[in-house]
Amino acid sequence: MLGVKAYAIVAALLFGLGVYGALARRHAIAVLVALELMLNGAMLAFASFSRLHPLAQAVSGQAFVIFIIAVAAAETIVGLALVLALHRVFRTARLDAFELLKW
Amino acid sequence: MESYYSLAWLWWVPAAPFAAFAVIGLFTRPWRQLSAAVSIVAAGMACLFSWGALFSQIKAGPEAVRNDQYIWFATATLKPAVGLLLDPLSAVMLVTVTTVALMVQVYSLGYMGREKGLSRYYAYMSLFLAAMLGLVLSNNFLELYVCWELVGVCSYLLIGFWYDRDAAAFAAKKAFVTTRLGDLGLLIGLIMICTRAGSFDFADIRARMAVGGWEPEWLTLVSILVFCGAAGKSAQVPLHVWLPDAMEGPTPVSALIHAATMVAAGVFLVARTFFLFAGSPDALAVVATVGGVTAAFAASIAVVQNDVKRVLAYSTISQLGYMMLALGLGGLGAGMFHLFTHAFFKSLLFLGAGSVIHALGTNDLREMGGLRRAMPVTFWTFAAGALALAGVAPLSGFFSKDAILCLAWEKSPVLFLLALVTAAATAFYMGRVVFTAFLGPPRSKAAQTAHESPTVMLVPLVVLAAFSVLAGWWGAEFGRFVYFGVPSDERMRWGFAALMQVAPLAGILAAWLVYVVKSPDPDALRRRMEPLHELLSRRYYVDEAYDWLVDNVVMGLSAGLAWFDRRVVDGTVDSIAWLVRRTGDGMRRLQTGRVSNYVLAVFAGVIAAVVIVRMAGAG
Amino acid sequence: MFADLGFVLAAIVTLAGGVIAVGARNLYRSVLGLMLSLTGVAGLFLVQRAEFLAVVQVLVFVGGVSVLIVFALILVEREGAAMETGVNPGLVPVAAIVAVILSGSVIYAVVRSPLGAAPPAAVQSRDIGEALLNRYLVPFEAVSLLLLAALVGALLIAREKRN
Repeated sequence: MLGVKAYAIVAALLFGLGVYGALARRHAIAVLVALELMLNGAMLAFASFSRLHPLAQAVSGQAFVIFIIAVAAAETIVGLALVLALHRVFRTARLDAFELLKW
Repeated sequence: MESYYSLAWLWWVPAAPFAAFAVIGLFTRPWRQLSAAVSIVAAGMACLFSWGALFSQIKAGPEAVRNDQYIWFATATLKPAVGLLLDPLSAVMLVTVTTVALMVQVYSLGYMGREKGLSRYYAYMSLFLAAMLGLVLSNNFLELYVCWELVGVCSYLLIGFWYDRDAAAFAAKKAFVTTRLGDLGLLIGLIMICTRAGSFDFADIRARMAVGGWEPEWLTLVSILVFCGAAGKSAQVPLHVWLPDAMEGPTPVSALIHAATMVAAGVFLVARTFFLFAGSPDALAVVATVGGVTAAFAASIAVVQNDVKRVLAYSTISQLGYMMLALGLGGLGAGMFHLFTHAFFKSLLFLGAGSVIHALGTNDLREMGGLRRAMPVTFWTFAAGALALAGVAPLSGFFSKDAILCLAWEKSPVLFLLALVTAAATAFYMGRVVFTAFLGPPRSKAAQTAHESPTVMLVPLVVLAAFSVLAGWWGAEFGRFVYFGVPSDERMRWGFAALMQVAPLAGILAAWLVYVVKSPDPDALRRRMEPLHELLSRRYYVDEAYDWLVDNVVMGLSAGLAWFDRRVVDGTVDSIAWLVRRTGDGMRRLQTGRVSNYVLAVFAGVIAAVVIVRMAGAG
Repeated sequence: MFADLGFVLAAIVTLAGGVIAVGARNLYRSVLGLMLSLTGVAGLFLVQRAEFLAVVQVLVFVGGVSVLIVFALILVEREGAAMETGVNPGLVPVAAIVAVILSGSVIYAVVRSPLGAAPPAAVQSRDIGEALLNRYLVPFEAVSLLLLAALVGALLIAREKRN
């Protein structure tokens, strides 16, 4: 079985993809999608590293993944609600349309 | 020390006039006569206790010094105190100041009786008296300086008494500013002395100086700085310009302040700090030279003045020069003696002139004449004062002037010559005044219809005349009473004295010839010496020189500094503000309002944090 | 052997899905890519013998969250006009740089560190359950509260204004 390192690398790459998407994408929902990717990368890292420890501590890593899933779900719910509300007012969900809070 | 004279009474000498000032200022202003009474009673009290102090001092002997003080507060390095110092010097000054002040205040009842602001006048008079007495009695530099400045303020207030007159207001300002220049030197000097000695107290400074170690150059410097203050108050050249203008004030004010007391404060200051001057022959030389030059300078200008008060003003400047000359030559006793006699006859002359002005309504000599018959008391007292001033034996002025001339003869031929010429000129211009004002035909309607002044004005004249005539006989004692170091042997040298009478008698004779016998004719004489006359009439153009100095040097300097303030100081502050604004302008562009940018900022921050932590860990 | 192959397969799926998710211009395609990636992650969990996690992942993320996103897409892009959305050209280089820096540094750290192969600690669902209800009780309850708040908040934000 491959070592933890490989999984960690995959997690890092996944996270990097998420970062790129969060910064570069133009549509709000696309950014949310990228956010999900980032969270997944973190989850993967947690789960992988938890295997290095004996059982008592390994459980913590996996429990934490559960928490991450729950929080990610909550965040997505609220984010999507916001996008819906914004769309109602601005008729669009593209991020470069929202410039009101500028100098 | 058992003495019948308690120091508690001495405190009343300055306290009584000060209390009068407070009472008049706070309570009795609406009642003019009451205010005058309060002031005169206070002055009388001060006079009484001053004479008591003098007698007690004479009895105790010239070495006796009595000291009393309240310490205001004490720090590690400073102990400012309010105190009284009674020694021969201050005793003599006390008597002089209070006697003349009392006479002037009584006289003012008649002269200023109908003034609306009489209460204000007496309030200022009392305040002045209190400040002057505080100055005389002070036992430390701080108290002296405070009283010094207070005296200057009172002078300003009294010169500008008729404040709605432009000339008076201007003169008051000129007086204050000019003396301020001198006071600056005094302040710097006293700070230097007191920091070096570690105390304000004169006794302490003197003791500290005796311990030794004060370089002659430093002593010269501080002595000259102190002399600056004295020169300002005592109207020595070139700070003399305020005194003639000060004649805009009421005549009794001129008599008290600008003849007998305040202007004497400068001489008193040099006397009080004489131990400093004694350590520096150079400083003494400066004092003597300035005094001598001032004496001759002012006397020459007095010869051509047409306003009787101006003649007396320049005469005062000249006599003050005499006093400084004496002090500079080491004759503390001689200088103070002349101050003593001068106070009496000069104030007498001013009050007499006031009597004439009051009767005629004009100061101009050319409109007077023949007042001998109309105002006999005024005439005889004025003549007595004039003879005393001229130094004719056996009046007081003769003794005091002679002491100075003796001193000059021994110490410096040049200064002796100046003094002698000045004596002749003094006699000449006083003769001129007496002959034109009192003898000859009346030259104007006012002079024809003049009448003698009321008794309340005449009594002070008589009293002062008595002093002017008799005070000289104390001269032999003076040098043994007020001295520095060793008592001076003031034996009268009758031979020398008789010889010295030539100068004043010649002056009087010359005046008689020109102004009574009219040969040579005064107008013809004036025409022949026109350039000289012009120079003297314009007072050697000193005022013009000051104007030029202020306009060009002072204003130029001010303009330069103003430019500096605007450009550099304001510029710096403005630049900072500009910088802040520009930075703000730049920084606000960060607020794009776009989420993508903000997310980028978050990530950039994360990277930066990691880098910093990494570097901190590695380092 | 099997495990290695499984890992490689799952990894490829995950990363490919990720690329599609961030790269696709069509938003629906993007979401589908996300689903693919999530499934790949579930696979990676499986290979590591964290079966419980894999199941939860599929149930919640793939089945719940992704579907939610699709629904939101439908609601938002009703006109279908703004489907064509891609990247903001100005930000691409910066984004790429930042992404590379962040992931690159992690990879660098990981590669350089002496982590060995580990025996798979067999964690049972029972163990996870025990942990959640004993040691992590408070966070567990807090998270449920969070979900409640998120639900209520989302309702509030997204409902139609009553006129």
